[in-house]
Amino acid sequence: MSEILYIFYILPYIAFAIFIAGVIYRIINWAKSAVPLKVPTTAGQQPSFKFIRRTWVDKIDSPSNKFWAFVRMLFEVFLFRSLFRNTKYYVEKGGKNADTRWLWLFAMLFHYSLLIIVIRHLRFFTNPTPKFVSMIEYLDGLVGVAIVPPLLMTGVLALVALAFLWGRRIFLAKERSISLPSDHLILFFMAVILVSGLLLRYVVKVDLSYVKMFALSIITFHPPSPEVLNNLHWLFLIHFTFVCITIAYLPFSKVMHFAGVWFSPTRNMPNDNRMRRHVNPWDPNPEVPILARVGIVVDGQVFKSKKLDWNTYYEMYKDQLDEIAENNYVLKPEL
Amino acid sequence: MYHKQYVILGIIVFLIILATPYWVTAGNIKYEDIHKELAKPKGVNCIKDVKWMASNHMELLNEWREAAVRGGVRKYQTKNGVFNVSLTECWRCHNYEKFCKKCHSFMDVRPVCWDCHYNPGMKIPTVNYIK
Repeated sequence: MSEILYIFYILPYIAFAIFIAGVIYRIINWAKSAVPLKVPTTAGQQPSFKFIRRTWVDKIDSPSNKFWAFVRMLFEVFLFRSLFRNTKYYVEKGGKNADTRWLWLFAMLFHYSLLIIVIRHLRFFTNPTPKFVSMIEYLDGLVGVAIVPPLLMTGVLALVALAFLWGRRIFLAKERSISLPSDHLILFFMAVILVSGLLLRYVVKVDLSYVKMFALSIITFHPPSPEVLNNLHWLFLIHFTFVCITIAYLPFSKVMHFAGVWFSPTRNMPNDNRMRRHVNPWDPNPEVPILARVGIVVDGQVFKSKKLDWNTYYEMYKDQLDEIAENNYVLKPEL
Repeated sequence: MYHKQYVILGIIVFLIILATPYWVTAGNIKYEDIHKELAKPKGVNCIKDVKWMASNHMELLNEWREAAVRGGVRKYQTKNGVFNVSLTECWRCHNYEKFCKKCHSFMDVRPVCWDCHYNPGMKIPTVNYIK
């Protein structure tokens, strides 16, 4: 019986192998795609005449060099600046933009709670535990000291934020219509992990000494004894398995935005259109200007670029268009 | 691959973040079979069965606290006998330093008991008050 339980010991290694290989593969895949145009979306005044005022907010929102572009990226990554601009257009309210920055609030709450939760979990993976981990857990539990074990704020906040972020995709009609199964899947994984984790802390008490020994055995590559595995609680195993599944699923999921955000051309390009010429990496030294040419070469194939006619379009998307036609949809060029 | 230097830097940062448990401890993570390290308790029976106690002792102490402070209950009957509702009852069998504290510091658990109560590890001589 206990031999079967070694699956749980192997599981995190498989999950992390998939995770690391998958993330590096996707990063390199993104890095290989060219950015043909300069598309820095800005919301600030770009450098101009001396008398046009330009504050530091403009420098962040409309960076003119790599340094300020990097600062903008940091604001995006750590403060979700583009979500902070979130507004929603309502036709029924006379075309007014409504403030929907609660999305920003709950996104911030969720991400930072999750970060602190992950840091707190270091107490299982380190022996002896570093001081700052105990410190963070102590500060996290300050509000709930009257309860044993102390109620940790981040656990509750993450659950509340997750409920809002999922509720948004379920109860708001527009958001529901654009939500894909994969959106719900990752929220489901997070919900299972969070709920099982909270249950393990507050409701179902388990013998944590075995949990920590199991965690240490994973991180020190030291196979655990059958005694440790036999004493792991079933709810802990559910929690653990879902964490492993989620980690393995991350490279295929939208959670890859943690790497993808660094590749967003609208965020990572300095707005120096007028100072520097952006060279299309597809064809760095065109003999004939692109708009005057008969066609452009993409992946070894020549496509007409000046005006996309039906034949070129058909050639480019032959497979998909044939498939659509097979399903009795009539396809015709728009004239 | 475009912007190779930034991409490679990004991948390195990603791997460093993943390796957090190793560098925050400077590679000093010790696998420890804590059950072998703990001092053997003196008595035969714990208040309830050992497995239950290992995972639920804090619940029992919570229950005791409320029973003693609010109800004035000082005795607790289980199938293993009658016990005094007090922390010193635990220390009749368990060594505080080598049992309770050792496992708590292994788990990085910080019981809030000692915010008000004394414990045998403290310098303050309240420990001798009951003895």
